[in-house]
Formats: sequence, structure tokens, C-alpha cells
Amino acid sequence: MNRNKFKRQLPLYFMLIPGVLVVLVYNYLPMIGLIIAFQDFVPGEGFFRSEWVGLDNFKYLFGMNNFPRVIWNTIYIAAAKILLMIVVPVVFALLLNEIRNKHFKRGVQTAIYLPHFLSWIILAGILIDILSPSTGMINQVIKFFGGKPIFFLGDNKWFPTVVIASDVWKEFGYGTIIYLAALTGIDPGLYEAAYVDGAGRWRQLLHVTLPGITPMVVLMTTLSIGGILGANFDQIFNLYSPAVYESGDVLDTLIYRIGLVDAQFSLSTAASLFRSLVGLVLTVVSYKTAHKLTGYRPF
Amino acid sequence: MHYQKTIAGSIANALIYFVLILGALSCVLPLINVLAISFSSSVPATAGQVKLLPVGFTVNAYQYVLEKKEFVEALWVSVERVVLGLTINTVFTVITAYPLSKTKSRFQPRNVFMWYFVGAMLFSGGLIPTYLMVSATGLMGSIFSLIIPGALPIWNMIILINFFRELPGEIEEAALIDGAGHFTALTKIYVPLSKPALATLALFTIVGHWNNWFDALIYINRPENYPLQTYLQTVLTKQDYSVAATISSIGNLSDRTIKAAQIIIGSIPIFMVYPFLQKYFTQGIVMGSVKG
Amino acid sequence: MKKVLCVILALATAASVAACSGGSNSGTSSASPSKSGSSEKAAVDPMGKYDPPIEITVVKGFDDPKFDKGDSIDNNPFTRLYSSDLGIKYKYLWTTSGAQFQQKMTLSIASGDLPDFMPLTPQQFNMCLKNGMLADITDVFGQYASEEIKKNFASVPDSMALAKVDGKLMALPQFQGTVDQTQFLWVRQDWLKKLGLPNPKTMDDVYRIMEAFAKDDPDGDGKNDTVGLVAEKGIVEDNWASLLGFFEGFHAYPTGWVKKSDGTLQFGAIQPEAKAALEKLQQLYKDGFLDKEFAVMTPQKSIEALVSEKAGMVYSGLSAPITVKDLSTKNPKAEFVPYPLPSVDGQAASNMIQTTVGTFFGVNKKSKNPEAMIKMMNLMKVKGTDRELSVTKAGNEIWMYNVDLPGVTSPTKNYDCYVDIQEAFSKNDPSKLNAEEKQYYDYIVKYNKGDNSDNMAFGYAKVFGPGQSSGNVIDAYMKNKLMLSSAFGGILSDKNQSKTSILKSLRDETYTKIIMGEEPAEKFDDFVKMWYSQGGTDITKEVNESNGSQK
Repeated sequence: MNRNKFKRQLPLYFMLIPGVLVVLVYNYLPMIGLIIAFQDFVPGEGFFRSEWVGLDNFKYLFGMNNFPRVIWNTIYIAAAKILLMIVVPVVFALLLNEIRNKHFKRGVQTAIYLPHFLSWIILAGILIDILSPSTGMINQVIKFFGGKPIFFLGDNKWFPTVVIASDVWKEFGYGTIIYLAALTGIDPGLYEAAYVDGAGRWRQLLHVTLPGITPMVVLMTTLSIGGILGANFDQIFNLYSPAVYESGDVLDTLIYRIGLVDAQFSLSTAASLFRSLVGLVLTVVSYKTAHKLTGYRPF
Repeated sequence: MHYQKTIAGSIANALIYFVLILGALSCVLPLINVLAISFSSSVPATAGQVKLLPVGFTVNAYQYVLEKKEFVEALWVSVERVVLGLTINTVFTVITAYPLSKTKSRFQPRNVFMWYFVGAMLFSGGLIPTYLMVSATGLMGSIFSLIIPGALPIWNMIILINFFRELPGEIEEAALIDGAGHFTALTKIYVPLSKPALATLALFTIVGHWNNWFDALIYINRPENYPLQTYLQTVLTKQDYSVAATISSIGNLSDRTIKAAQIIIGSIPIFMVYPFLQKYFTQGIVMGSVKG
Repeated sequence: MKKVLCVILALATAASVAACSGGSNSGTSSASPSKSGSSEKAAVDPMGKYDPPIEITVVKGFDDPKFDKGDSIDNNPFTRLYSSDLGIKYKYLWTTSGAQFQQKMTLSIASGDLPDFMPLTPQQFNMCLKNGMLADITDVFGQYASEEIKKNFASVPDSMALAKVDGKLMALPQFQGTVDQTQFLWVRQDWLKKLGLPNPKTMDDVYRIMEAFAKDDPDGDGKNDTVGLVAEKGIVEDNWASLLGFFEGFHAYPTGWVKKSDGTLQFGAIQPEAKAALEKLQQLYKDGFLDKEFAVMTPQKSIEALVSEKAGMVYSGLSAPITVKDLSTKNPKAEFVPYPLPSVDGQAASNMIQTTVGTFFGVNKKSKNPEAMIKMMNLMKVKGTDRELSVTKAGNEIWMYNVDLPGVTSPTKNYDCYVDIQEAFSKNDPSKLNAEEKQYYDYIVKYNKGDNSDNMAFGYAKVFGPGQSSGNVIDAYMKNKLMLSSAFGGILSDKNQSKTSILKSLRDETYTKIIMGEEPAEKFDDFVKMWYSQGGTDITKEVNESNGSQK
């Protein structure tokens, strides 16, 4: 019986070979390079001839004056983004799903994917304009309603909000597309059955639609959580300034400023390794939690 | 969805339309701004006077970018990259997702392999080790250096796994009873049923390969082999206002209109492909094959 | 199956590469280790032609080449010149964009794949030294460098010292432009006239002008939409609209090292003069005369402010008119002129000039012709300013597509251009001008005739032209010795080098908060203490120890 089963599974093994090999060569083998996080690495001297320094690089990293502040900022911003990047696209997908008019649907779908194509260099320029305390649109509206203008990009209280909101705005189109595709995968028969059972629009949403996309939501959440220490460098670099280091400086921008990228390979690899390890732990935790809560394995 | 029309429903509909239109509009306006800048004269653009309509209408910026033969060459390189990349990525994604979508009982080692791939997504050796590997495998300078290292887009593959898992289990049973092996089941049944997922992933792959400009600057040694976005990066002389910049290079700084034209040109092909793929997003699963 | 075999083979190769030394030097030119210059000995002629011709490899980062039809980066006036005059055929081992050049160079070093000679950052220079990848060029330089080239390098002994290791010359330093680092106060002269304001000679003048520009509607559009002084978030570094000139007006030098009366070297950012400048800036910010949004300003936004006439005063460098040239098209009546830095007291303000070396040109130890680079330099010194090498017959500017070489341009190049152009105007004789200078001269002539259709004319006229121009101000700086070299121009040890960036961050953050009023000026004293404790003590110690004597 076992032999037969193995024989039946053989094609499955074969199917995996190309993927396993490519990942081995281009993802895992280069990971040998992670050992430079434990060395005082000099390129050219190679991975095995540079001096070993054990955990020194990590100690230096964690001991940096701004490290706690930076980690907090990174987590805060990333967590908020992860949360909103689930909620907003799901809501949008659900709303779009209610629309019958195909053309309107397609139009909106196209529109919301557009911001993805703009680089942060461009978007930062636009944001600086509309958020300007003196001439910006948003503050004009605030002033109109009798409020005091807010210096969004220069105020530590507001900066993270701007960062979170603008990134969600830029990328929610991506998530919406995924959830829409998931929605189309729901068996229409289930809706019919629900209708027959007397469920109205709202009940159908609750009992058919939402459970139908839950697997995808759980999956996207689990996958995203692994990236929690990686708040978007490009965006923050173009938007921040010394005025908002306190709330806006994240791990990647700190590393960049310290010039680690170009010269201090060991330190930046140590930071990267640290980030990956945290990501792994969080991914495992959310995987197990999802399984416990929903009985479903995200992947 | 089946439901009767009610007043509450109509109000809900109106609200839904309102939110969607607002959302879509907010997304479109910045691009309209960039479009307007691309068609404006450089002085008003530099002075920040262009909002939603071009000021001093001109196609100078487009002429500047499009009239070079390097542009057309780079365009073809990009097309080649996207076609090769899409094909390879899709094949890898499909054949790797299929076994991993089986349950543990049907395929014992699936969890091991699954975490093998997840691990690759979470950890990276960094730029230098990856560069050395690309060099060691002889891909340096070839268009395949832009495709093979990322041949399996793991995130996409996981999404496809979930799509496969959502398909009713009876499909596999039915196929196997009919004497079909896994390869046949995959190609004749699973793939056709996954069109929305595949179309979605195809879109992301195309966009990814089309927009990626950094890897070519590192792995491609000659400008004539650059894909389009990489080439466009070099059309803009580095915005170096530092003291080290020479007088003439400052004079040569490309103005905002050219940058804007670059973005528009770089995005057009995607907008041409998008509607084509869109119709697959909204196709439902054909359930007849199972019931039969 | 073949594919699998190939991949397995590749894996084995990769594994052995990684196992050996992660960056074996064996990949480069299959050349036998060269004995520098001994093969082609015949006569040591600095510009002797190689016969038979030799082939060398180089690298370069550049953007958007515009050549004449049929020409390319591999076949252009430069390749032909080197080939015909020196018998040197060069090929590009690789090229990339200007922005990615340093990164690609680092990767090249890591993989041991190097050209015959290359430009290196100080860190890359150290990397190559540690791996023994560079040739000792002491002899080669001594034998082959022309008198002109030797004179150029003799004028920067400190930089040369940085390129030496144990007395051996391991690279040639690229000159840091000195006059390019000067700052001026650029003002809308027409606004001054309109509002009856004095020319800015003292800091008090500056405050008056800032207030008037902010409050009195200088652009006359009836809207309260102008700022007194525009500045950027970098405050004193990494910016176009800087406040460095403001600080220097207070005799503060927040970006460099100063020699104190007790003979020690101290960092300018923590000196009391800087505190005084910050107090004043805090006041000006509070009053609204300093642009309240400076914390988000980028170079592009600053330029926008000037071109759209929302600002009329800025501290910037000598090329400012070129950057804002569109202003002259938008408002042909705008008068944008430079002033020497105003001072807070009777003593004139000086410009701090950094003398660190940014680029070292190293020669590959495995190069068969290490003297090739020097010969090319010799040739460029003589022929580099030829017309055909600047602009082609079809009007394409190609001077930037030459092979990167050190030592060919003088550190005071832009000032030299100015001097030559002035002479040409005063004698009404442009015949002695080189190609680049002649280009500027022609533009200035056009501008003086009133032709600003190509507004580069405005740009060059305000930089190199007669009258109130950048060159004119630099002239004053030179004559009055108002260019102060940073007291320390060397390279720090790795550990301390990484701390400088942390300290820079600290400085920028503290300065910003004080100016914006979020911290009182007294916070400056805490900042000084933190600066020392976060690495400043070690750095100051190292700077003082190496004072004068480089490694």
C-alpha cells in the first residue's frame, strides 16, 4: 500500500524539483552570506577569511542610541499598515462586488490600481503640496471649518498617520484585486441556497461572502505579518526630515543614515538577519494562531 | 447575489457608489496631475503651476524621450523580459503550487516543503551573496539574470495554493477515478478552473517585471541591453545639487516634464494589458464539471 | 535532464567559489601577474604611443548618452583619440547608471572582477587595500606623469598623503573642487529696489530683508504668499537652499573642523557661535520670516519657490542661477544677484571648504599596463579642452563620456573659467578661451544682447559674466582670503567613521527642533554633551592625533 502510494505521489515530487532547485541556488545558497553578520566582513577577503566577532555586531546595533525608538516606530507603522491593508481592500472588494454594472466595476478597479505606479519621489512632492499648512488643500478645508492649520509632515503627532494613510492609499488596489478574485471563486449556488432560505442582502454578506473570503484574508494577514520590521524605506525617506525623526525614523532609514549600506556590511546584514528572525517567529505564531482560531491552515 | 430591491437597499447602493467614486477619484487625480505636467512647458512645471490641466501645452517631453533609438531598443528588451518572465513564472508557480495544495494525507512531505519556501521568502542573503551567485551561475549580463533568480515568485505561489485548495476536493477524486494522473488533472482540470487566480497573478507578474529597474543596473553590463524602466532611469541625469556636481551637469538636469513623461510612457503598456486580463477576474467557476 | 545537470554543476561551482574565498581574484584578466611597466620599457615617454596597441578595461557610471550618428559609448571621439595618439584601446568591463555606480563598484570588488583602473570611494579604497588588489604606482607615477600633472598633484600634498600607504603611492586622489563649495546670498535685487531695502552687507540687513519679503508683498500680486528666506530640511548639508551661509555669517562652521586658540581641533557644530546662530534662527522662525515649512523643503521645492516668485532670497552655491534659470523666462525683469556672505560683526564671513578626498583612482594590481592611466591623464591635460571633445559637430555634448581620470581638472576650475572669460571680455578677444569657456562666453554675449531664448544664457551670465556674478563674488573671496579650509580633511578609522553619521543625525535633529521652537536654545548645551558621549570624544581625539600627519 505504501509503495503504491509513493508511486502515485511521484509526479508530485517531480513537479517540485524545478522550484526547489531555483530557490536553493538563488535563495538558500546566498544565505551562506548571512554569516557576515557574525564577522567583521571585508568584501574580497571572503566569507571565510574575515574576522569573527560573534554577537558584537548585534550588540552594537541594539546599543545604538536611537534603536528602541526606531524599533517602536517601525512596529507601530507596520502594524497599522498591515491592519489597514486588510480592512480597506476587503471593504472595497465587498463594495465592488455589490455592483452589477460591469463597466463601472472595471473602471473603479483600474482607477484604484493607478497609485501603485507612481513612485514615492513623485507622491512625496504631491503630498507636501496638499498637506502644506499655508497653501495645502487639506488645511484650506480645515481652516474653512474654523480649525488651525496642521503641519502634517513636520509634526510628530501626525507624521505616522500620514505615512500609514498614504501607503494604504497607494497600495490598497493590489489587495482589492486579490479579494475580488477570491470573491468570484465563491460558489453562486451558496447564494441561491441562502436566498431560498430567506436571507436578505446583509445576511448573505455575513454568511456566504465573508466566510468565503476568510481563507484569503487569513493568508494575507499571515504573510504580511512576517514583514513587520520592514516599513517602507522608499516612502519614509522621501517624506521625512529631522523634524520628525522621533516618530518617523524606522529601522531602514536609520541604517541608511548611518551609511551602513555602503560600508558596514556586517552591521546591515546583522540588522537584516534580526529582521528576518523576528519575521519568522511572527509568521509561525500567526500561522498557529490562525489554525487555532479558524481551524484553517493559512498555507 | 440574489435579493429583492428595497428602499434600504437603494440607499445602500447609493452610498456604495459614493464611496467607490470618491475612492477611485482620489486615486486618479494624482496621475492626472502627472499627465498634465508631462504635456506642459517646462517653466510653468518648474514653477509648480500645473495642477490638473497642462499649462503651455507641448509634446516636447515626449519627443525628447521617444525620439531616441535607445528607447525602442529598451522597449523590446522589456517585452522580451516580460514574455519570458511571465511564462517561466507561471509555469513554476503552477507546478509548485499544485503538490503543495494537497493535504498531508495525500502528500506527506507537503509541510516540510511549504516551510522551505516560506523560509526563502523571509530570509535573504543580501545583495553581495546573491550577486556572487548570479555571477557563478553564468547569468551575468544575460537577460536571464533578471528572470531565473526570481523564477518562482513565492508569494504568488502561496496565493495559488489557496485557490487550488478552495476547489472542491471531488474534482481530484473524479479525475483519478477516470484514470487520469496528476499531470493530467493539473493541466486539464485545475488550471482551467483557476483562471481568475492565474489572471490576477499574471497581472502582478507582468507589472513586476515591467517596473523592475534596479536589477538590470546591477546585472546588465551594457546600456543597449537595458529594459525600458532601467533605460528611463538613466534618461534622468541624477538630481545632484551637491557641490561636486559640475556646472554643465546641473544645466542638463531633466526637468519635471520629462520625468512626468517617463512615468506615463512607462505605465502605458500596463494599462493596455489590464483590461484584457480584467475579464478573467470576473469569471466564476464552472461548476458543471463537478456535478456531472 | 540536461538542465538539471547544468544546475547541479553550477551548484558545485558555486559551492567551491563560496568555500574558497567568496571573492576569488582569479576571475579577472587571465594575465600573468604583471611586473609594472617593465615589459614596454623602450623609452619612458609620458605620451609615448603603444605599438602594438594595448587593450585595457575601464568602468563608468553615466546617464543618457547623446552621440552623433554611428557613435556609441564604445566608439566616439574619445576612443578614437586615445587609440590614435596613445595606441590605447579601451573597453568597458561594465557600465551602469551614475546613481548605481558606487554600488556596482562594490559588487565588482566583492567578486574580484576589476578593470585596469577605477574610481573608488574612500571605503572602497580601503577594501581594495586590505585585499591587496591595487598596484603600487609610486614609480609609475614618477616616471610617466607629465610636468603639468605632477604640478597639479603637488598642489594638494594633503590629498596625496591620504593616497599613500607606508610611503607607497597606492592611488591618485581626485581633487575636490574648492571654489564650488562657496556659498553666497542670492537676492532679488528688483525686490530690494521696489521695497526700498538696503543691499545685504550685515546680518541686520538680512533680517530686515527677510521681514520685508515675508510681509510686504514683494511680488506685487496682492497675496500674502511670499517667504522671507527659503531653506531646506538638511539645514547645513545635503541641500541646495542651505543655511550654512547664515551660520558662517555668525562665524560658525557646523560642517567642519576649526582650530581653536588653544591649538586643538574642535568640531564646528558644537561651538558657541553655532548656538548664537540658532538663537537668531529660532527668533526668525517664530516671527515667520524664515519659511515655516523649511522642514519639508527639498531642492525641487526650493527651486519651485524661487521660480514661482514665492521666495526672493536664498543661501546657495555658485550654480544657483543655472538651477533657477526658468525664473528668467517667467519674469524677464527679475534680477537675481549674488552677495558675499553678510556677517554679524565687523569681521567678514568665511566659507568653510572641505578638503577631504572623495574619490581615489586605483590601478589594478593585475594590470599589464599600470602606466596607461597616467599616460591618458597626460594626454587629457593637453588635449582635454579641445572643442571636439566637448561638443560634437552635430551639437551633442559629449565631454562627460570621457574615461574617468584623476588630476586633469584643477580644483579651482570654475574660477579659472571666470578669470579667463573676464579677460576675454575686457580685451574683447575670446581667442584664448578653451572650448568650455568659449561656450559660456557665447551664451553671455547672447544674454547681454538681450537674447534669453535659451535661458541657459541667463544662467551662465550670472555665474561667469561680468558684473555681479558668482565669479565676481568668488574673486572677492579669493582676494580677501575668505575661504577657510576645514582643519581636518583626513579619513577616520572605520569605527569612528560610522559614528560621524550618527552625530550628523543628532546635529540635524537638534538644530531643527531648536529652530522650530520645539526645544529652547539652552538645549544646545545638552546637545554638546550628547555629541561627545555618542562618539564625539573618540572622533575629536583621533582628529587631533592625526593633526597634520596623515597615515
